[in-house]
Amino acid sequence: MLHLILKELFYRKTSTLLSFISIALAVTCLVSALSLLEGHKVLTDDIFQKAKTKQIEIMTKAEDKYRISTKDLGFNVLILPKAQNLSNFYADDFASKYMPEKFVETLANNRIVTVRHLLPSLKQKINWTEMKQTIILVGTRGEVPVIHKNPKKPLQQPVEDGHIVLGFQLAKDLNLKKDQTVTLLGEEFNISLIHSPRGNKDDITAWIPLAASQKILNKPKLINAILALECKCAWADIEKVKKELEKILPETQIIGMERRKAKTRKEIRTTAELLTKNSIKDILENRKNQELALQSFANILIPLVMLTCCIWIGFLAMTNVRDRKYEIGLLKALGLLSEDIILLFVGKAFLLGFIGSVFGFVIGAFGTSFFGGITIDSDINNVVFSGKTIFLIIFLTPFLSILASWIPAIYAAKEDPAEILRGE
Amino acid sequence: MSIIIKNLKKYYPTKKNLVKAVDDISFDVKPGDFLAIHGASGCGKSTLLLMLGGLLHPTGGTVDIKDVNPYKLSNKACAAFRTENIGFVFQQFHLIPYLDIRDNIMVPALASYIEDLNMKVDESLEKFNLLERAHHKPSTLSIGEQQRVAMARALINSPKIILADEPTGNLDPDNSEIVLNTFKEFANQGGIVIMVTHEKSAINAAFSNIALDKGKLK
Repeated sequence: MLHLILKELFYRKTSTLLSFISIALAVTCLVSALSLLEGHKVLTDDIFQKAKTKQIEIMTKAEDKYRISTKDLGFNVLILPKAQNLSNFYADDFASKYMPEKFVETLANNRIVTVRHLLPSLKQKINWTEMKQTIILVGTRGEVPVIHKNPKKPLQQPVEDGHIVLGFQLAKDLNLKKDQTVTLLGEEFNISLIHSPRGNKDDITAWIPLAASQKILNKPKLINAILALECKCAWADIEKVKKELEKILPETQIIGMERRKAKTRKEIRTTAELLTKNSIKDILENRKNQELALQSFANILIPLVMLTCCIWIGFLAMTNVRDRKYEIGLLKALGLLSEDIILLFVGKAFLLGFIGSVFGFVIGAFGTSFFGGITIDSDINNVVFSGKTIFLIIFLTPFLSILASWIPAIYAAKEDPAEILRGE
Repeated sequence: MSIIIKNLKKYYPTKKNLVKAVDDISFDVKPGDFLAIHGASGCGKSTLLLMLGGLLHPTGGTVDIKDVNPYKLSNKACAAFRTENIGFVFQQFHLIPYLDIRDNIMVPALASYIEDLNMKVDESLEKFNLLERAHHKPSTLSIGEQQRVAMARALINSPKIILADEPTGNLDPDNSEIVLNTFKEFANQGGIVIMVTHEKSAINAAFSNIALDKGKLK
């Protein structure tokens, strides 16, 4: 029987070739669609992994850049005597209680990691009797170096001995000019600088050296505030700073200032991170949409191609039955049963389906790799070359081919040899 | 082993009337007989032959071959019976175009086991002078050679009966003679040959003959 099938296959070359091509084409479409879809998934995973790695790289680099770019956005901490009532402090804008000036040295000599610049000050509202003007007097000695850290450029310059720096409004109201000598509560000072307008209490403030202020205000070796400037940490870490400082100076209290700057700094980082994440999310969503589109296309294309091929195979099988009418009549006359005739056509369909599916599989799998730019890597192999897929393709295709040829085979089996031979 | 035909009928009802292709025919054929059935075209010769071969159910009457009525057998048993006992020869030969001559002669082996098949095929090829053509396709053979192949095929499973439908219809006198001589030889060896023909020479070559006219024995 197999001999007969094989001989017939080679004899009717056109019909065989057309059947073979249609089966191979259907399987090629199926395997290509599978490979492309799986390849798309693998590429998406690959892109995601690369993007994620890149994001980590970018964020690590960005961390440094943001640190540099936002270094001036650090927040300040004000250290006040523990006894200071904060309500009064906020109302007056200076402390009414005092603490030893040596506290600043204590701080500077400790290994504080969160604070970079320390500015002790003595600040008080006074009546400038010589000028008959109420002013805010600030005694400052400039920045106290934090000794365990590399010296940084001071954020605030001290006022030199014998000099005074005036706020804009104060100088204007008193008609004072730079380099003019003035007397403040019995002490003479040379005006070294008049600030530009700042729009706050600084405009009615006079800055003199700390020692001079202590003498004028009769507060020897005392200060009422230490400003810790430009803490390089997020606002969220203020509690950490407070704890660190209060541990060193238990007789003080710490308040944070300039919250917005620190918050901005953190927000910039968060926004940048979010942007990168969103960008990856966008790529993934686009890939997902592409995949869905491909899937929808495949969902229509594959059944359509399979159905068309089945109809085509059925048509070819029916033509084959017609061509072999006398052969069928003869075989039945010679004693072959209807089952044998069915087997003849089904066997042919199986062979065509099997060989066509193997060819289609090979062309589909490697053709996709060659023309579709999909690398046949292990991930795709797992799907395309899985037992399930091979079973579906190599064994289901012959089954479909048999199904498509079934009606023609039944038709052939029902042929009446008497009718055929009588009609010759 | 005789063939006994009793009141055999084959009617085809049409819209207008009933066509009586074979109408109440009875006759016997004994082993060693070479019977020619002749008559004008459409007289029911081929229909009768097909009924004798177990291929066409009669409307009435019986066909007994070796005391067996093939129409009372199942399809499978009837096919086996046919394979074992009957060889067919047709006017159009019905050789399978994609098989070579050797394979064509072996076709009946698809239906049943034939002992010493290859040896028998070789003998057949030699007997019908087809040895050189053994691996040729039917389309490359002359008409006479094709009919000889059909004869070899009909005889390969050593049947008891040969049913031939116009076997010499397409042949020249020389090839006709070969075919008819083969039938005579077969009958002389105890077989039965029933040949449908309208050729005088073929009728004369047969050992006996019956004539049909409009489905009835003349």
